[in-house]
This record gives sequence, C-alpha cells and structure tokens, in this order.
Amino acid sequence: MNSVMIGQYIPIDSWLHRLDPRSKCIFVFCMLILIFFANNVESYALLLFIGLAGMVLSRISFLLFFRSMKLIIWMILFTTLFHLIFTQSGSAVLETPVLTIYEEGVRQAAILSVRFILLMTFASLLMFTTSPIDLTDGLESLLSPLRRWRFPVHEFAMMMSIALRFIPTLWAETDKIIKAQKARGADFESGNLYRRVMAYIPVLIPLMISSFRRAEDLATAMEARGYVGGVGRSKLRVLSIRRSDVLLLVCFAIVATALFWMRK
Amino acid sequence: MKHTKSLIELSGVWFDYHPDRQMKEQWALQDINLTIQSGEYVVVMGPNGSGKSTFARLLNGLFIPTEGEVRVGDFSTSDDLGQFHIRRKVGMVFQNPDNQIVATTVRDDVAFGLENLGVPREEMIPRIEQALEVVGLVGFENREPAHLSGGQKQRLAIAGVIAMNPDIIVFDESTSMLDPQGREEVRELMKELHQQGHTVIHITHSAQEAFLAERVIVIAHHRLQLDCPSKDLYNQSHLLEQWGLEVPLPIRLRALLKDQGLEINEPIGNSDEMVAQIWRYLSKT
Amino acid sequence: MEISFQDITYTYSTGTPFEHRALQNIHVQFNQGSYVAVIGKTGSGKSTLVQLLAGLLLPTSGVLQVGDTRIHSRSKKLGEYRKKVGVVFQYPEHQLFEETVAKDIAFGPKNLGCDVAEIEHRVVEAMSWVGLSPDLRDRSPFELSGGQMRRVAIAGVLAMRPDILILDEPTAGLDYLGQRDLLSILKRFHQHFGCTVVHVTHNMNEAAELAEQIVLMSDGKVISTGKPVEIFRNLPYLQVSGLDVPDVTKWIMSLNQNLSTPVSTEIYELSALADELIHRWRRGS
Ligand SMILES: Nc1ncnc2c1ncn2[C@@H]1O[C@H](COP(=O)(O)OP(=O)(O)O)[C@@H](O)[C@H]1O
Ligand SMILES: Nc1ncnc2c1ncn2[C@@H]1O[C@H](COP(=O)(O)OP(=O)(O)O)[C@@H](O)[C@H]1O
Ligand SMILES: [Mg+2]
Ligand SMILES: [Mg+2]
Repeated sequence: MNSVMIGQYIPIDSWLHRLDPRSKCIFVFCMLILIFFANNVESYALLLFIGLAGMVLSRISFLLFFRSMKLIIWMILFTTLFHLIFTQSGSAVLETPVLTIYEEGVRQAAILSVRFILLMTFASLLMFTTSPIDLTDGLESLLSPLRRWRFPVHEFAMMMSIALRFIPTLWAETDKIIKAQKARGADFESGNLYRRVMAYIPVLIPLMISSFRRAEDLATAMEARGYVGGVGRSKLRVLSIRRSDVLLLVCFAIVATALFWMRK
Repeated sequence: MKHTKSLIELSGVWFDYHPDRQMKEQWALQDINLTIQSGEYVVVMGPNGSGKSTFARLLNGLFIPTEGEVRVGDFSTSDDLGQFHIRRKVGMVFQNPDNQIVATTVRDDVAFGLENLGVPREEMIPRIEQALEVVGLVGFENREPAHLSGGQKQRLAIAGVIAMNPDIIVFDESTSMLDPQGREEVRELMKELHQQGHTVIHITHSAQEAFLAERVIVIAHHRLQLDCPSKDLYNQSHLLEQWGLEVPLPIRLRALLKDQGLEINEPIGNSDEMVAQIWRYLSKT
Repeated sequence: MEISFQDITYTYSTGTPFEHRALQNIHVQFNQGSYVAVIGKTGSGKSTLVQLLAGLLLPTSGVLQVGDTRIHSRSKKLGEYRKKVGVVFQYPEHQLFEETVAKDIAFGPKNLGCDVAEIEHRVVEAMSWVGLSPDLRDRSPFELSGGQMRRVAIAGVLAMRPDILILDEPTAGLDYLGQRDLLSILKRFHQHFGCTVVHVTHNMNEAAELAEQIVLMSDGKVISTGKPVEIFRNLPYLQVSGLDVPDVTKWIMSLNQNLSTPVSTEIYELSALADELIHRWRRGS
C-alpha cells in the first residue's frame, strides 16, 4: 500500500489544525516526555483520554489513526513477546512446560504497548493536523535562538521545506522507475535477501541521477528568482499565538500537574 | 527615425562551460551580437543542444560571458551590482514545471521571490493576489504543487516571476513538457503579458509558436543564424529545414507541389495566403 | 495475440481518502499486429490503461484477455507475461542506469534469459534500429545528448523483441527532428516485426499518421474507437474531449471552404494531399 500516507498531513479544518504549530510542537514534545514518566494505570488512562480527545478534536477518521498504528505493530509485538518471555519476577500467571509467564512480564508488556500506542497517537496528531510548511516554520521559529551559536537555522528550515516539497515528486518518480525496470524484466520479488537488494540498483541509480538533476534545476531557478540565502529576506508567513494556543498550554499545565500527583 | 536605447544588448558574446578545455569553434555560444527593444515579443528557435538555454541564462546573469558583454538597461551582467538589478529586471520561466517550484503551497511559492527581495509583508500580500489573478490561479492559494496539472504549475512559475515586476520575461522551452491544453494556457498568458508591456523572449522549437511572435531568432550550431520579423519567416522557411527545425505545413506543401511541376512563386506570409493561392490555381482552369 | 479489455475498472489507493477511480467499465479490443493510438486529455486514463496492459497494475474489476492469458484483480506471477510486453514510458531516458550504452540495452534481454551470443546480437541490432552508431556502445549513457539517451532507452526495450510494444508519449520533449526520427523508427519496427503497438499520444498528427486503430479516452472511459477517419470525422466529439484534428485535416478543411468538390479529409499525409492537388490541377488545365 501507499506508505507515504502514513504520517501525512490531512488537509481539513479543525480546532487542532488552526493552532499555532509552535504550541503544537511544544505540546506534543512534552507529552512524549510525560508518557515516559507516567507509571500507573490512572496516569495512562488520563493520557489515553487526552489522546482520544485530540482525535475527536482533529475531526480525522479514527481509521487513519488506526492505520498509522500498523507501522508500529511489529515493535509492539516484539517487545511484548520479549517481556513475556524474559521478565521473570512476580508470581507466575501461566505455566506451560516450555515457558512460564510472570505477572511482572505481563505488566511490563502492557505498559510498553500502551506507551508505543500513545507515542504514535500524539505523533500522528501532530503530523495529521500540521501542514509540512507550518511544521517547518514552527521549527524554524523554535530553533531560532540557536542562531546565536551559529546554527544555520534558515538553511535548515529551507532544506526541510524543499525536501517536503519534493517528497511527492520523488515518490511518483520511484514508482515510475520501478515499473519501467519491471517492464524490462527486473525481478524484485524472488531470490535471497542479497539478490533482492541488488535488484534495486537499477532503481536507485536513476533515482539518484534524477534527484541531482532536479537539485541543479531548482538551484538555478532559485538563483534566478534572486535567492542569496537568509540575509535580507522578508517573510510572508508570520506565526501568531492566539487564545486557543494559550488554552492548549494551560490544559497541558493542568495535565502535567495531575500526572505529577498521580505518580507513585 | 526616433532613436531609442535598446533594452538588451549583446555585443561580441562568446561563452563556454569549460573555455580552457574546448577549442573556440566548439564553444557553446559563439559571437552573438544582438539588441532587443523594450516591449518586443521575440521567439528564439533552434535544435536541441544548439545553445538556446545558455543564451537565456546569459540574459539574467546566471552565466557571465566568457568574452564580450551583455547589457540590460543601464547595467552589465559582468559586474556584481549590475547583476543584482538585472535579476529583478529579467524574470525566467524554465522548462520542467516540477523543478522550479520551491515552496509547498501556491501562495508561498509566489512569495518566494518577493521574500528574496525583502519586500515587506503588507506589500507582498496584494502583489501575490494580483499575480495569481493574472495567471488565473485565484482560489488555488493553499494547493500543494504536486496536486497541480503541468499547465497550472507553469502558470504558478509565471506568477512567481511577475510578482517581482520584471520588465523582461524569458521562457526557456516552458511549453515543451506540457500537454496541448497546458501549452495553450501558457501561450495565451505570454500574449497577455506582452500586451501589458512586458518584453517577452520565448525559446521554443515549435514553428507554430514562432508565428505568435513579432520577431524570430534562430540559433543553430551555437551561432545566431537568422534574425527576422516573423512575417518574413514563411519565405525563409526552406532555411529552417537545414537546421533541423519544423517547416510550416503550407511551405512543405508548396515544396511538394513544386516537385511535381506546380510552382507557386508568390510570397506567402501565412497559412491563409497559401489557401488562397491554391484556390487561385485550381480555379484558373 | 488478441487483446481484449472486458469491463475493466481501475481505482487508485482504494480505501483511503485519496481513492481515485481512473478507469471505468472499459471495453475495447485490439487486433493482433495492429498499430493502436490511444488519445485523450491528460488525466483521461491513458497511462493507467497501458499499465494494465503491461501487467504492471491489476484491474480492480473486470478481465483483460491477452491471447491465452487472463488478467484479473487476483492474478499472480505476471513476470512471465511481462516478458512479452515492452514498455517505453514517458521520458524513458530517466530509467538508464548502466555504465555503458551496450550494458544498459542488454539489461532486458539478460532478464529474459538470453545467452551471451544472443544478447550481443540483439544489442547490435537494437542500436542499429534506433540509429545509434556502434562506436557509442562503450560510452556512458549519461554523457550523451538528451535525444541520444532517449534512443538508448528505446533500444533497451526493442532489444526484448516484445510481442506487444507500448509507448507512453514517446516523443515528448524531443525537438522536431528527434520526433520525426522516432516516428519513422516506430513505423519501420512495427512493419518489420509485426508486433502489436500501443502508442499513447496527445499529438493528433502522430495518431493520424501511424495508427490503424484509434482509441479515444475521456474521463476514465473509452468514448470512441475506430479507424482514424472514423475518429477525426467526429469533430464535436473530439472537441468535447479537449482534442483537436490533425494539422493536415485542419488545413484541408479550410481549403474546402471554397471548393465545389471538397478534398477528402481521409488524407493524413502531406504527400498524399500534394498528389491530390496536382491531380486536380492537371485535370483542370
Ligand atoms: N552544464 C553544462 N556543462 C557543460 N556543457 C553544457 C552544460 N549545459 C549545456 N552544455 C552544452 O552546451 C551546449 C548548448 O546547450 P544548451 O544551451 O542547453 O542548448 P539548448 O538549450 O539549445 O538545447 C550543448 O552542446 C551542451 O552539451
Ligand atoms: N499513482 C496514482 N495515484 C493516484 N491517482 C493517480 C495515480 N496515477 C494516476 N492517477 C490519476 O488517475 C487518473 C488517470 O491518470 P493517467 O492514467 O495517468 O491519465 P493520462 O495518462 O491520460 O494523463 C488521473 O486523474 C490521475 O490523477
Ligand atoms: Mg534548453
Ligand atoms: Mg499519461
């Protein structure tokens, strides 16, 4: 299936979509930290509730969130198995001749799975509701204090925005080249791992060459339009903190305090 | 005759990408002398590899002549200060619609050039609106470039250029990767920009497009071969074939008729005149 | 091999917000060994149609019958089938990857399992078909000009000696001479090997000149199919689909405005038109 869809911006209008990207970035980033500090059922319940509220507020179909979970399903399964097999403390909950599963193992497996799901939910919320350019702008603005230490913030943001601009183009190009080589009898599906990897050389080389050509064209076009780097540039986009952003941060403060009290 | 100063002037221009490695007779452009007046609509024709894109890039200082000089208005592309002014004066639309859009939405892309010039935000907004209106992309402001058709992408590129208020717009084969509909859209727009007073320089290898201009320049084998009003082109068309260019259909027909003994010697300036000639010959009898 | 599309529908990204139905209830047949042109506006589904035929996409519903092979939504192991089909995509030079021209052309035959001698034979033959001089064989394809790269890419497909040769806008971006050359190569290749050719184009001149059967597409449907005359006779139909008639036809139409016995619009070659006019002129005088 179309894997670019995972983590893609869903262009509809909602309260979450309208928030300032900076407050969303900060909110999600802090949430990710909180997820690792939470250590009891109540805290996770609260976090899950916030995740669900986010999904509702985003007005995006649950199906899409569910689909993005597919990306981490293997990680969840793997860590679950790992803990069920190797964690050996607490009382045994299930005894079979080959394997004994302990209470602590189940607990750890459950906690980690919930953490992964929460992480993915908040990451998806950010990606689904923030257009790539807003995200770039938000990051540029949040990182701008780093300029003092000579970090090339403008260049970084420009690179990111160009990369985002070209993802769909390169995706279509990859699809086309794969089809073209398939039509010339290339086989991407059989043989051992080494052969399969080698089979992609006829795809990777043309892709690289075309990316170079595009990069060169784009650089020329940018120069022709007077681009000489970040100095002396003005900006069309201005970010503005509104009442809803303040509301979001207040909510966050309340949640953080609540979690702190719940923590054992 | 009124003396007007030329807008663009190329004098003794030679250029090569690796001048130290190449023999001079193989340079990408050789001995170009040419002037273009303000408000002209010029088509540049030539087979692939003849040096058209190189020519275009000399006009806005993307390339600096190895020998000779390119002047636009009062400035020379060879000095740094001149280059800065010339980039504003000469806008350029390229061939591949995918590779000249920088930003992730239509509005941001039109803004890109203005941001580079440091235009204040309040001034930018009306200029963007106006540019989008000229190219007919109002209502597309928040679209992503990947979701535009080829013709729309080229129109967006044009909007990005005209927002910067250039005097001259150079189109480097900007129609060649488009479908017929996209081509028509871009041609219409060129005509309109010319009527609004822009100097339009259009590089193409379509004979049909050559007749839309007032003046046609042919570059072949890295040299300027022909420079004439487009209405004279019909009678020069046998030359086009020699450079591997498309000869207009009526002229090809005339040559075929001549091979079989029917000689039409009257000058022909356009397709309709050829139709009229054939009527005359067929009804003479 | 007879090709028959039976009630074929194709939907991109099924079950996502980006779901898009590109083809709808397609019924169409191509005869063994015929030259078929597929015409239609951009987005009408031409590329999707030929990718189904190439075994690169599977129909969402319906059946594609090619000789004894039946392709449907759950078909598997199309590798064998694909070996009989050659596809020249739009801008095929973007698929080149080998160090030398000869190696790149050999990629297809090698995948078919040909032995060394056979591969060598086919490479030499394919290079001569597309008019590449033999001393280019050890050059890197990336050092060649755009037109030559296109020839290398096409040679790579011809070397597979496909029973069905598919070309998706093969002349896009070439200059006039490059376009003429390519069309004549295709014509000769088709006549020599008698393979079925499916040629997607939005250039009506190409379609009229080469095709025995034309498939007219609009909005994901085949709205008409038949001999060129049958298609181009129906001007309003074409215009609804955003298309035009060939230049020769347009020209004959303007000629006919003033002729008592009109010239047949079934003429698509300029030389045939010249013959017809000479014939009338002789008869008259
Ligand atoms: N970046 C480059 N480096 C070296 N040679 C180049 C480069 N670009 C073009 N050339 C050469 O310069 C000549 C003119 O090219 P170009 O101006 O692109 O022609 P056109 O636009 O008419 O097709 C060609 O012979 C080409 O090979
Ligand atoms: N990979 C794809 N994913 C989604 N939609 C597509 C894809 N490829 C083509 N389409 C859509 O399917 C329709 C038909 O496309 P296509 O077959 O490429 O038409 P044509 O070749 O006639 O221009 C268009 O509306 C196009 O946007
Ligand atoms: Mg060029
Ligand atoms: Mg197509």
